[in-house]
Amino acid sequence: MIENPEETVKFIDKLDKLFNDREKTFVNLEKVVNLDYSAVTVLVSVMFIFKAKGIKFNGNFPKNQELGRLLVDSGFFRYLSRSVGDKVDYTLGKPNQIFTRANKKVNSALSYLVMAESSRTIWGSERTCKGLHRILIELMQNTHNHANSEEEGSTHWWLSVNHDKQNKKVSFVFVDYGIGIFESLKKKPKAEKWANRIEKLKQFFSSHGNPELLRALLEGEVHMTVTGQHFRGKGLPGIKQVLERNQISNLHVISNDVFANVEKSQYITLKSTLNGTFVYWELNQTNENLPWVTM
Amino acid sequence: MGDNVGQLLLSVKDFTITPGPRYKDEGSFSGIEFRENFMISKFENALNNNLKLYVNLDGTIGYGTSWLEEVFGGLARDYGINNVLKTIKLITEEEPYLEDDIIGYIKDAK
Repeated sequence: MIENPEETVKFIDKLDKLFNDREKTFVNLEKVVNLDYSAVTVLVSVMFIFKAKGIKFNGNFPKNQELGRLLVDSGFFRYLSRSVGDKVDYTLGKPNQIFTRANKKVNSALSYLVMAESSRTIWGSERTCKGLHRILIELMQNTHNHANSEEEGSTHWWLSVNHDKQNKKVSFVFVDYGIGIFESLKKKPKAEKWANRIEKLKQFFSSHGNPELLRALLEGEVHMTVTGQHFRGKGLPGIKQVLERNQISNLHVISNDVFANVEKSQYITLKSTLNGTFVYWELNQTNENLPWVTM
Repeated sequence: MGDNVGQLLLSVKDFTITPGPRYKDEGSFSGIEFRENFMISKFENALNNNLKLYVNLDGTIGYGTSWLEEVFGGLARDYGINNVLKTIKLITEEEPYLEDDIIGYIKDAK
């Protein structure tokens, strides 16, 4: 997703169309030569979404054995032949390897478990990573509140945690298939008093475009929320803050038609559109950490 | 450290070490739950008796912006910005930057 976003988003867009048409889908992975953890997470979450709606979904092994193992560890093949239902909570994969959780609520206890495991991989003992909790809470809350403009709390978020024990690094992928940041902002807010702000936002859209808008939202230059409550909408700047405070590394965001490598200030327009929001970041030995909290 | 002469103390970690979202229906350990069930009685006590309420933010795994805004901004919406600014004192040695953030939330609360 982060190495080749254009092609991957195009592929997801194709799957999205098949999903909307409720078409039986087979993903041919045989010739895949490069598949990173983030793409695996997307593939796993897409499979669950198809199966939860009762749409037949299947796939095969890549010829590349390493990639095959990656998919096996993720739990992808184990669930291909099972019925998954439309539950609130899913858990798959193996702790300390590729471990994916899905939910619709803000799950702060999960953050505690993820932090304990991640810090053991990175520092050899449990450490408190305040920025990790911040980004997880902001993303879960954004999905809960904004991913579906009609009904709050109806969209799943997917979190995949991938442990690289050799390099003492943990990477995180958070994805939801809601309407995405920009589509969410286009929705009419609940209060009439927002009319002026909406007008200003429309002007910003037309003169700057989505990549510049995402940058401005993350920087806190443009403050906007569709809730109609002016004090909300601090989540995106809150995520950028933890990067600036060196509490996380290598932050990437893909939403609708924008790809952002936030650390490098690269914001570009994609040719295809992701109906949802994808966020990738890492935690490594250089990131700020504190002694472990005790109950 | 407990309540002292002229001051009251409230530690978030006595509520939870994993603060969650803003509202109860979004998930566990919400900001509104902390404010309503743990903070308001102490705040009113401090306000009515001209005491300081020290809120200790250390000892948790971190905070989302919505949790902090709901607790402190929400308090300012209910009791007035000046009353909150003059009564609340923050202890945040682990995340000193939170003090500026929270004062901003209080001042922006309407």
